[in-house]
Amino acid sequence: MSAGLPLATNAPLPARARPRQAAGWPAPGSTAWLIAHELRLVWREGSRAGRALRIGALLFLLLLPVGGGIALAWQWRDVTVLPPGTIGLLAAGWYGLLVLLLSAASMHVLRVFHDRGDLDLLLAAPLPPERVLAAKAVAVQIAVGTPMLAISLPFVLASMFFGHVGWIGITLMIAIGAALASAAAFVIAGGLFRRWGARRARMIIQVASGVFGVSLGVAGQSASFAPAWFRGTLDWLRQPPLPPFDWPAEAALGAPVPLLAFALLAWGATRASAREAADQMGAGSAADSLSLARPARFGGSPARVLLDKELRLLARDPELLATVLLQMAYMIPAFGLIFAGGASPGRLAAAVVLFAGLLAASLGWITICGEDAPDLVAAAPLPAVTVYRVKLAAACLPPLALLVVPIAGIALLSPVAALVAAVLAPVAALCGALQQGWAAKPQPRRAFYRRQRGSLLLALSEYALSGALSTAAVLLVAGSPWAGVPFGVAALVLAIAWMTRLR
Amino acid sequence: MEDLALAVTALRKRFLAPAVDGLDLTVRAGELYALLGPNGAGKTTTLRMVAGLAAPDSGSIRVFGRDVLADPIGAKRLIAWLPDEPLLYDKLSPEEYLAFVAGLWAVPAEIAAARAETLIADLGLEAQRRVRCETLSRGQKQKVALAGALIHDPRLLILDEPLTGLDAAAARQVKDLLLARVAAGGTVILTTHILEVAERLASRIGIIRAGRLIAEGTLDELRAGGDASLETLFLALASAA
Repeated sequence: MSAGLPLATNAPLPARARPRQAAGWPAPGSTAWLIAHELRLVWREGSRAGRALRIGALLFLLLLPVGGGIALAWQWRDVTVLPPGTIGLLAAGWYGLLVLLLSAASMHVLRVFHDRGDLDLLLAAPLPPERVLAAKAVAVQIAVGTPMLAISLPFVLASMFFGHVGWIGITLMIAIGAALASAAAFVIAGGLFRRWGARRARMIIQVASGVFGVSLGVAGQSASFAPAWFRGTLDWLRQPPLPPFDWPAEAALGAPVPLLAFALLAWGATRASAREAADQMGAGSAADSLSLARPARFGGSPARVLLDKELRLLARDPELLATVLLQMAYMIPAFGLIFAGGASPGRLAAAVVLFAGLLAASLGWITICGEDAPDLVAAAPLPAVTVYRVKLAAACLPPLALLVVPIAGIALLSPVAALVAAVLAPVAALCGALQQGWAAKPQPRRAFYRRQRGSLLLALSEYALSGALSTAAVLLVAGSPWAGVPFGVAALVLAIAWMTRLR
Repeated sequence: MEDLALAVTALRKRFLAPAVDGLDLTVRAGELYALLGPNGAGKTTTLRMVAGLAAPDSGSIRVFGRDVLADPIGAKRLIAWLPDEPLLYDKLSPEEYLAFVAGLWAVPAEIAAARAETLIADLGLEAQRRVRCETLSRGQKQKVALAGALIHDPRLLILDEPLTGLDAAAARQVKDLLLARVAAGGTVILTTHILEVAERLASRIGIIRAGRLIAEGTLDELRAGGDASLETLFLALASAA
């Protein structure tokens, strides 16, 4: 035993070592304290940026809903009779929101209960387990509901100020939606976890979220490329649903009975989900053994072996690919922009170039920055430049392989557009991957899901680079002499990435 | 020069402060050399430079006569480096990982397969050979990483804290494997905080502090005729001003 370290003492701590207990701050171990702890972890998991930067970004992001919400409330201040179709659209919007919240809540449930690995620590503490689990459940609800509440609250408060007091129901229905989605997530994510294990459960949820996100994005942009379908769907949604399916809309507009019914439903669901969480504690998960019936063979030159490894790891990680898909979904508005004036061979070529650049950038991050065994690869008898080239190739090959058929399709419409796409797609892919190699920090592969949150500047320059080359494609197909300008922009972005590259 | 597995001369590396400060170190072929030192003494930095993973500010490193700085690829063919944290590919199985590492070192497939069989058996990894590494325990991962280090039959094996995270049985397996390696003419350099390991396994021991070698020799030479334990010697040397 060390002589200098007293193991236990009742002597008071010196003032400097005593933890600060601010007035009004929840007592350690209380439910509120545990919730605050959970929320702090959620907040910190969300971003690697510093506190000031995060708060600044949050305030900046809140400017839009505050400004937009107040303006919208002002515009609607004299509305006494809502336009026809409002109930239908509101109800459809709430159901859509519920699905969105469900996918977010499912990921939170897996993260909070299974990934973080702090349950043992918390349950080993002299606290009632129900309190620990309830705090986690509430934290999931808050984490899921807060973004939507933040977006809607300025509009709701301003509307209440202008006399639409009942519209507080919008905020309440979002909160209720978050509670219901979280409760459902406990059941769904918990069931998937028990049946398939944490990794596969996460993958299933991510793929489902990715598909839902892409569908939502495509539906949102369908006004550009399928206006008739978009109008038809909108007309269908405007029809008021049969009771009680219209209750979410009624509740959002302040009808007390539906609001009370949903509040009771949310309360019951939350209670049930807490029980589900308690059951999850006792139940083990399915083994995540992931046995491989047919092991891969590696052969050929060391460079070939490395390339095979990169491609195999990509193919074997559907969770990662689902995240890539989800990140690509954020670019659907950009694709919508390309097709805003209708589809043409030049615009198709531009879309192909944009897709190649963005996908290769994502894969470039994974292969170059997300090397899980950097020491092994660095210690291998391979020149560093060969390793780098192989990793670039691994990032560029999948998007180019995916684009062979679309480019062939474009060739049927316009050989010139196909030629432009065939030349610029590999260029965009290579530039996108190079940019990642120069600018992104090496990190474990599992950090991929937050890569764009890690550096806003890099994310923006990534879009600028691929967007510039995409614009160049349109202009080249159109034979415009201005095509040189976007090429110049792309070259400038690349030059900046190279000059500021990490060494 | 060939009887020297490693010759490090006047090696320096500075980060914010000097990490390695004019280190001279030689390891003879066929010996198991334990490099000891307190945390932050420069052990890992030194070995990373030997393995070609970090560039020194000055000094020279020769592995079996090859200049690591002038001919890094040639030197790397002779070396295996095992970091303290076993970094594997989650989505590959141990069997695939070994095939991959063998491919990087251009080991012919048949030879690699035979060696993999032996290593998997020696390290007790039969049951895990075809499951993805992401599901393995810390100790199992450590064993897979060790097998990866041995699959290309390196002449110089460098291990940074190789027994971290291993249970007693696994630690015994690894120790036996290292001794067998040395008995077969291989050279092993390891760092460890478990002084009993150095005491029992090492042919020679080097103690490093603040980037400099402050003592070196066999256990008897370090004792200088006394009967102090390595722990006593180490603590005395490491804490001396």
